[in-house]
Amino acid sequence: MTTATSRISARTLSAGVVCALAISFSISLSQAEEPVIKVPLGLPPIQFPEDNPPTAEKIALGKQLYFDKRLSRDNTISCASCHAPEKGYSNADQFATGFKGQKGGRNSPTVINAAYNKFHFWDGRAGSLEEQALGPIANPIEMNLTHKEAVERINAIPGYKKQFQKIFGSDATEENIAKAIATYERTILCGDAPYDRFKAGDKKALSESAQRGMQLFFGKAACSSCHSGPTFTDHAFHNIGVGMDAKEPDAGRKAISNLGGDHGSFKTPALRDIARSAPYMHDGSMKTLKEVVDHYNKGGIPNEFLDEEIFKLNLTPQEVDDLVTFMKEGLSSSNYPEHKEPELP
Amino acid sequence: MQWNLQRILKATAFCLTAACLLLGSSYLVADEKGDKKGDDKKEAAKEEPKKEAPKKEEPKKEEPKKEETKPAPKKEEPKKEEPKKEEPKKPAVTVKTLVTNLESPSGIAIQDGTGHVFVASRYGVYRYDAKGKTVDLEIAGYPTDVYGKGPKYNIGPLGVAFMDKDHLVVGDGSRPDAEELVRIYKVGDKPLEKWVKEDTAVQTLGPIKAGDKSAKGEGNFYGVAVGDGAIYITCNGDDTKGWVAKSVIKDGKAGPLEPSIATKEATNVDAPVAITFSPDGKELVIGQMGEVNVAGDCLLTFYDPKTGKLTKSLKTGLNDIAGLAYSPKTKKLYATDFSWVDATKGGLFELKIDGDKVTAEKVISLDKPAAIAFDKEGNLYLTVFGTQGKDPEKSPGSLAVIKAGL
Repeated sequence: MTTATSRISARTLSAGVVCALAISFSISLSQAEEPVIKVPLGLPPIQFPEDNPPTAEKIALGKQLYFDKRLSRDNTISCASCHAPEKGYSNADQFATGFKGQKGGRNSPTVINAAYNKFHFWDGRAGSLEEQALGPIANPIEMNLTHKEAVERINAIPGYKKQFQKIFGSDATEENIAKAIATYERTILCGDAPYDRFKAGDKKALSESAQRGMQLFFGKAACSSCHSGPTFTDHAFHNIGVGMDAKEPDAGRKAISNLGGDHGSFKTPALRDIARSAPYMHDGSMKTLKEVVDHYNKGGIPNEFLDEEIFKLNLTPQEVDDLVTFMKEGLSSSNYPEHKEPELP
Repeated sequence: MQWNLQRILKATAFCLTAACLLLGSSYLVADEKGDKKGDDKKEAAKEEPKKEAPKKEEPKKEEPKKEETKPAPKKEEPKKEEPKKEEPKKPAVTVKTLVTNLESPSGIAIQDGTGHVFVASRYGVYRYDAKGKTVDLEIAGYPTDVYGKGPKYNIGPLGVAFMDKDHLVVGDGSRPDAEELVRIYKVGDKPLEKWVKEDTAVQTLGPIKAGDKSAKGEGNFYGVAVGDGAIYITCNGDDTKGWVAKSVIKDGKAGPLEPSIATKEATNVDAPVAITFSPDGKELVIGQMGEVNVAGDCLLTFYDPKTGKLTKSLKTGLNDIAGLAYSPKTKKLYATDFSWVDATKGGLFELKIDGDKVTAEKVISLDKPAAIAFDKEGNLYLTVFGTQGKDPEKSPGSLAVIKAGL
């Protein structure tokens, strides 16, 4: 071979290799751009904490932990026990039952769209999913397993230890257990409901009754005073009178904020797929959405700290019905993520 | 033998490729460096905005001040001023208290010509004369409404602004929602012998009753801004809408008050409160306060007054924006943060806008500040709610000033 020919073929070779590299690089780039968690229609992008980005492996690990009953002292209770996918990621009882049959004092909040919540728990004491995840594990009336023991148990299971090493570069710790569970929880998203499709232009997406209910929701019934935004919560705390007629009302947010006006105030729940997570309110006192609407219609339960946004609505029975229809029909996602328990290590 | 040759050929091809790649990649690196050089050039071209040397202000020594005239209504009597012991964040800014013993002091408006400062507070609207250092009650006789569930504040008139130098627009807070009024008063150049009753307005606008536009009627008219031929009022009745109401001015007369911009629908955040016009008069600038029991949720928003359309909605990280004002001298934008959940975080802030980003830089801490207004010389007047002390006869609110320089 002459030198000239060898140069030409070398150039071609290197050009070819460079091209191949470029193609594979761009493929991997576009794969990196593909979101790890796909967000359905009607929901905004998720804000992930900088120190806890989502990966497929982390989500899988978090899902195992979420369903794993070994995170409770007597191996009978997991996160999924009280935040069950088939029960709207809540628990169909007024209060969930924890360790040795003990009952909690507040209704189980749903995990649906918790990815967007600014605060967690009815009194908003946790500022992130990571912060929330460990609470029930150690709570004596819930899962009753100290964090230290939880970590020991997880690390004693080789299948878990391996995953933690691979994902976090260390054994399981309190912190990375919480990170994994939180990352999984961020995949529990409900959107792409008839409401979203109607807003996007499909005028047939909502029935007539649901459309009337929607007008009421954003108008006469004043629901969007507090149930506003893509997940239908303003992330704030309101006293709507629920439980204020009890002998010793639950102080709610006041215990955390120390603001007098927060007495009996609770976090505005999000509303997507609300039909699935009965019963309602922080004390689980309302079994149906109609009961809920009736509560607001009559102006809530008067008490010294009642929010000024609560007043008699004067809705007719038809209007009440339309409003309930909007919530049931309009806010139910078409791809409800009914996750099943995965194989556990 | 043959496959050995093939192997050798393969190996050679491989090495050649590797060599070409190496050579080629070294050229790429060089190009990157070349690009970087280009970037460096761009960096050099950007000029550092000149930082103004902070003006040195000596904190004023204690001086016994004149007794202020006593207005008629019972409790509230502006007392002689006591110099405020303020710990300024930056040495340059000092807050000078002008009038004390006010309850829930809110809106501030400065009269053209006289430069008199009009302040709304629970018992009525006062006129403060900075030259004579006198304060006189101008309009009174308001009922009282309560804001908040704990802490609670007694409130009267809230927002004030001049329609022209003789006419003061007052947004009320002294009545329940659906009964609240906007009133326009004729004001002269001198303090009155005796205050006038609040119903002696030359014009009364509103109320905006419960109906199609407002679920339970509108109330608490915190902010008033006049510009682009209209009066704009921030309302706090129907939280599904977050209305800014509008009254078109024609031949010196204000037209009917109509709900105009639904700020809640535009921004998904509650409570338009602070309102002002941009220095060029082309933009309506509104502070969306958000929820008082949630920190950091305030928005700084811009609307086109001609169409009512939202043009920009920016997160500020502040807790409760109560007042907004542009400095006439420096054109900088300032905001007060009432900071309901934690008064120690409250104060006067400069809002620095860079594209879609706002940085709120604290100028000085204040105990529950409300409104701010600049006079023509650039002096900044502020109202501060303060904290009730042990003596129930002494109201904790005040009117203060920061000398020109902001």
